[in-house]
Amino acid sequence: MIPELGHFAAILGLASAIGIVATGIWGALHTNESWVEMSIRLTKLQFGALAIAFLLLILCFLQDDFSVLYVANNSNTELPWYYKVSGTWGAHEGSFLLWTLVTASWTLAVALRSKNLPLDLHGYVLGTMGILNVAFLLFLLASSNPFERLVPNVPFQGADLNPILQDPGQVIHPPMLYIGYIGFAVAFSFGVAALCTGKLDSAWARWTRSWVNMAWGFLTIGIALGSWWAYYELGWGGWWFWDPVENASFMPWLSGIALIHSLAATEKRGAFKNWTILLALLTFSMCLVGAFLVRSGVLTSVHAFAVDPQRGLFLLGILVAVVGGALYLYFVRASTIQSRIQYWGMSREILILINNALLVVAVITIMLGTLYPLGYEWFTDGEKLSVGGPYFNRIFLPLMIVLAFFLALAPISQWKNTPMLLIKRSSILLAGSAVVALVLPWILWKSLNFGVTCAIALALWIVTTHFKALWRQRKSLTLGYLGMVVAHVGFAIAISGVAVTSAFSHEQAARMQPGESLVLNENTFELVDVGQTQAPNYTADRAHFRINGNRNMFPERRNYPLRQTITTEAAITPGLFRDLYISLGNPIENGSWGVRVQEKPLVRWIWLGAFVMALAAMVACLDKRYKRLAKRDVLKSVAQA
Amino acid sequence: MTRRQWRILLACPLLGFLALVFILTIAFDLGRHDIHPSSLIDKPFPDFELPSLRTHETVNLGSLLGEARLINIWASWCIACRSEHGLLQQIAERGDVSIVGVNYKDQRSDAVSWLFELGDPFAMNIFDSEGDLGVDLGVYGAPETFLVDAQGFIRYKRVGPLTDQIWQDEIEPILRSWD
Repeated sequence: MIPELGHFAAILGLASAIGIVATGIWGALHTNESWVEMSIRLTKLQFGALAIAFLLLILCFLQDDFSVLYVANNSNTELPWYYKVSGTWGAHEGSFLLWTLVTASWTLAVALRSKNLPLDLHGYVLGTMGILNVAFLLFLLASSNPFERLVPNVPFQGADLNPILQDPGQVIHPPMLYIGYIGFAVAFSFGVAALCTGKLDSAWARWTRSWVNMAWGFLTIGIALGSWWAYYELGWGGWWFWDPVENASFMPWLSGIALIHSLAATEKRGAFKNWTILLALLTFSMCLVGAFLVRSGVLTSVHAFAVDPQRGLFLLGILVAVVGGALYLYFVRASTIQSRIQYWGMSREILILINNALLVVAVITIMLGTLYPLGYEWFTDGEKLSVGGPYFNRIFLPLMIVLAFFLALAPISQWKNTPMLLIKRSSILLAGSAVVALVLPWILWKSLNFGVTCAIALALWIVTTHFKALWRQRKSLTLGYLGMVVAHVGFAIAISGVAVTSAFSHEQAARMQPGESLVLNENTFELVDVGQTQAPNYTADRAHFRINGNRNMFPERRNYPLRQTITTEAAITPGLFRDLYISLGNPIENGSWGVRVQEKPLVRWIWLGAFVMALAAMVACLDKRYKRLAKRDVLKSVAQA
Repeated sequence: MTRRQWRILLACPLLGFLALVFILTIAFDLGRHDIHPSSLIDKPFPDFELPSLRTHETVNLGSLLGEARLINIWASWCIACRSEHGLLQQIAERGDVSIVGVNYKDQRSDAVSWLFELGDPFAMNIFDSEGDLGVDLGVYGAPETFLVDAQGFIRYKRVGPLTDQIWQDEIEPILRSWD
């Protein structure tokens, strides 16, 4: 009964989404308040229905209802209750139900938070959000129904949740990513609405900015959690692999940064209007491309069971309809939106242009690297080709160094034109940072490296120019400005972490017998013994290491019998300046074990920087300016009417 | 910029997207070929040397030859395998074709008790605990089913559980054409 109720709630969600589209667009076309009002009410119904559907699916998991195919494939009576709950979004069907729920949540948020939007804009935004969820829900109900029953042969026991997903990081990683991805659907809808109404002023940019910041903040957290999870769960200390699924989330992240900056220029200077709309459309389009790549079976997935080809076709259809439709609208309507602005020299506009150009090149690089192997395989009839890390690093890292260079000038720059004197003055700071960056790695890690010196010099330069500007602004500091400074400092933290970890990590693989020890960069690792432990759904070999005679670490090798999967649980001693990392490998003959020991300096700074950036993006949304100017915008639009 | 150049510029994103859709379509097409690789059809079944599930004695390609075989990749951890198990049993009872199981990445005891619990339609079971034969067959996931003729050539492949419909429409006609 419960699965049927859930199924019904999802259908109700679809019906209300159709209602949102009809009432929203009708209200916008006729600037009729009561229709838009109706559309707002329907967003509440849509949210309620999908929330109930999702809760009912969770209930099916908690009750071990293996008559539901999805539950049988992804749960097990032995699973602790919290992994039963998170199993709800552990595979395709349930995670897509979550995806539609997140879409409904953003739609609800837009409906409630944008009461003072012009009527036609509001109607078009809700209508566009509605169209997206109609497409998603049709896909869910037609080809990925999580409530499908497995009758008459109900299994006694489920297949268990994929063991590598049985982890707290993996519990919150997907929801964060989805909130980020679909947050960009709001910007997408604002872009479509601007094209429909033909109006794009600084008020439009202001409304869009906070939504983009929120979405980008969530996406940043989602990606950082994924990277952190890969670091400790996959067991070999890597934190970024340039694998296609990661790239699919990284492309909208980069283009989201470009959008945040070009929106600033559009708001403050009325510049790049066409370009801003295009970025708003493309950022969400990349989220959809990513969803297609991950869910269509084009890329290899962790799921044991074959993917239904119908699903991929359906998703491709959604992609073509939504993105193709929006870009066609752009082609037809964008010429009605013009920006006539001039700027010279190192003006802030030019810096933003450079930022956008670099980020777009980075996105195209990643997209080519992700899709080229697929095309190559097709044209050469099955020859495989891997592009892999070296290609991405060679192109992406220099781009980021150039980006960091111009980023340091951000707080000095002024709109229209920046006096050369200011730039010259800040170059003294750069010289100072460069000297420190030459000496510091030598003192801390007894080694020198060109990339590290570049990264640290630029990071220090960014930090100094930004704090100097912050000090100068201290009397009239707004949250928007503070957010900018903190986000840029977060970027500096992250690039230092990336550079130092990549260059100065130490690692050693060895076979060890209990009682033996090995020395890695002044740390002594002694293998005391290897024992057995047991949990309800796995058994494990558990090694006991003693570090420098005082600290203990316990890496494990777990065997999950139901899925026939072995996972390595690395033991990590975290630290702000370095992590110690041990993973336990295979047992080798006569009682010795394969072991990998690593020391990773500043690895935490990568995620720390990411969280600082995410936090800053969200803080910037709280700027009072948005509220104050929103009131003014309303008065203005009333006066015009 | 003239109006015309402007129009061309604005069309670029749309054209770029169409190119992307083209790549995605061929990538998707490719993905499907991976799932149903035409490359395996009409090729000889790969040689192997693996223990049999119950008797532990080694079997190889030679043990399969001489009659048509329906080769079914299954495992006790595979839920979808349960859903096709009834059909396999009907096929075995009717004697339509001899079914050989490949027990894929499984534990011997689990597999044997699974057969005890649900019934055993297999004339023989190959115990492929490491998935070696699975690799040679390009197994994507369990269940998968191959139809191999008396000379050991693969004539048909299916990814995912068998259904009555598939049996009647796709496999039976091939078997009938051999009689």
